[in-house]
Amino acid sequence: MKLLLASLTLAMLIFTGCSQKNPDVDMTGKDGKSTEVSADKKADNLSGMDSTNGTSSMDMNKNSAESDANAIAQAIASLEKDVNKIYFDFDKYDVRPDMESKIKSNARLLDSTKAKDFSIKVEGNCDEWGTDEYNYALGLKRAKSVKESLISYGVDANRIMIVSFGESNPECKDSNKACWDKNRRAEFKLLP
Amino acid sequence: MIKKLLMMIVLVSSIFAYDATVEIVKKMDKLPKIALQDASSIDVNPVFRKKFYKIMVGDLRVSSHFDVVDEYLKSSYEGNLEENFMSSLNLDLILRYNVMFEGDGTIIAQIKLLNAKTGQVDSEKIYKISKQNRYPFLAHKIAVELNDKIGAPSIKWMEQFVIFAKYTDKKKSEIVISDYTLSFQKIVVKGGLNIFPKWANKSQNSFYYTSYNGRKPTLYSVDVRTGKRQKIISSEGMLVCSDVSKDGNKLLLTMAPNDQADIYVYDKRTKQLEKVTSYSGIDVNGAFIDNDKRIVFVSDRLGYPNIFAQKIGSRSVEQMVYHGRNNNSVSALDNYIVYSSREKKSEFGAKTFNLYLISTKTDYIRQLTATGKNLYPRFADDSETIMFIKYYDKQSALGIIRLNANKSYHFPLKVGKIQSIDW
Repeated sequence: MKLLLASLTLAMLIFTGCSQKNPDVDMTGKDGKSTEVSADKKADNLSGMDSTNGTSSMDMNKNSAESDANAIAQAIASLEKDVNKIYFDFDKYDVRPDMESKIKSNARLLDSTKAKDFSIKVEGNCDEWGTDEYNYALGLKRAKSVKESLISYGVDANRIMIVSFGESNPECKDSNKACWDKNRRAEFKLLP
Repeated sequence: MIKKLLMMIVLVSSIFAYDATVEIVKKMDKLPKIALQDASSIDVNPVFRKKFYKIMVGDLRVSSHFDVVDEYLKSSYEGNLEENFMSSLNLDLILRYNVMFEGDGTIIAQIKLLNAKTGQVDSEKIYKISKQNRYPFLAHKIAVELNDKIGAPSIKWMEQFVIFAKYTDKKKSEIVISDYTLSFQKIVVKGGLNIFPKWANKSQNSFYYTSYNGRKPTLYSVDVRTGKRQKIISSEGMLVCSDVSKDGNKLLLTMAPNDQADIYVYDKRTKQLEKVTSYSGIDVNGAFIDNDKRIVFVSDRLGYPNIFAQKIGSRSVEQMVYHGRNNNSVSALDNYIVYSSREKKSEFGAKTFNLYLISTKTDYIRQLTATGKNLYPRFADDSETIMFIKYYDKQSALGIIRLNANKSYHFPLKVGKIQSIDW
């Protein structure tokens, strides 16, 4: 209830705006010489919006549901640690021959008993070169190539979803070739 | 004095630095020589006075319609023989301003335009803006009206709001509304990954953006007055609103409901989605042309990103650009197409991106930039001005190209990296 009230208050703060002001242009100077013009604009009162998820420090009682959630989170973290990242060549989205064995190994792990109840999210990423809109599409093609490869190694297609993060999720922030090589990749996340 | 003058010139040139574009296409006639005179009271904060002056002088320079004197000059508002002629500078015009603050935060600018040949007052006007942080728009308004007064082609685009997304960290970004110089900035969306903002209409009272904070990328519209957010559509994989039709009713979306990025037209009124392109590779960055009947877009269907056009409802695709090996972003206005192209090699680095302008009616190609990484070009309404993103090693800037004057300017973003822009 406390959380609900806090959220409502936050939402009210976030979405409170003021009425629109049209440019108030008065071109009729009293003495015919001096006129007054308002540079106020239509979006004078730009309203901010905070889409941060409402992560609250709500104090929950320890219960079995929480410990189950912890166990799942730990299992996911442990599995994700062992999944290989798949790297790509500059401007390319086909799986490199040297990455096939890594995808095969991932497929084995993701199809194992301890992982098979989780959904798989393949995230495609790009280096900083090029326009970001194109990079989101390129990242998606990389994720799709990896998904198709996983399927070819026997992973159930219905377990896999893909998403692109373009260049928004760099592994390395330096501006050099070694760094860009690391950023052109697909990563794997497991979802309960 | 000399020191001050030098400092001022360095400061102004660093903010309004330009790199000359490659070709001189149209020579301007002799430009009117103008000086600005700050007649504000000594009570006005000197830091504010310098900022205001910098934006005013920058606006006039970016307009490319004035020969602007760099020197920061003070004067009385009434003027005298020396102040009204400034004979040593051989001026045509003097713009004298007196900036004042009211108790409620309103800024008032009293403006006097003088003919420096006669020393006579040509006109006077009073401008005001209700909040102090929006003073750049006050300066832009004055510049736009002064420009109109001398009969030069309109620079009304200076009054447009720019909206851009900037990366602040991994999978984190903010959406910001600003003026074209980035002097005014207001964060309107923050928290998580929110990208590809796009104005919903010409009046700029709402915008679209994609949120990556839910299970699927989701397109929202936001009313800038109220902050009210409305979900438009979601897609697996990716989702970008690349363009909005002139009437504001149709959106060109790149989305991937079946893991495959293609371009769709979404009709806001009927909520119907029509698939426009269909290709197993990449189709992205659609832009309406020919009265919203056709689109240009980027596709890698020849094995590398290039610019193509397609009539909506038809499957026939036309290649629009026969130059470059990596043309990855496009914007269109009337018969003109501007695109960014990665150069194979240049003396400035192996992977430089430059902007090029073509006409759909001729084979003419005009190179617009010469150095650095210049991406994401977007036309203003007047087709004489293009905005783009310029990237440096660790920094990004908002660039402005004035086509007729053949000049470009850039305005660095101090914090974060510009992801996408619209205006």
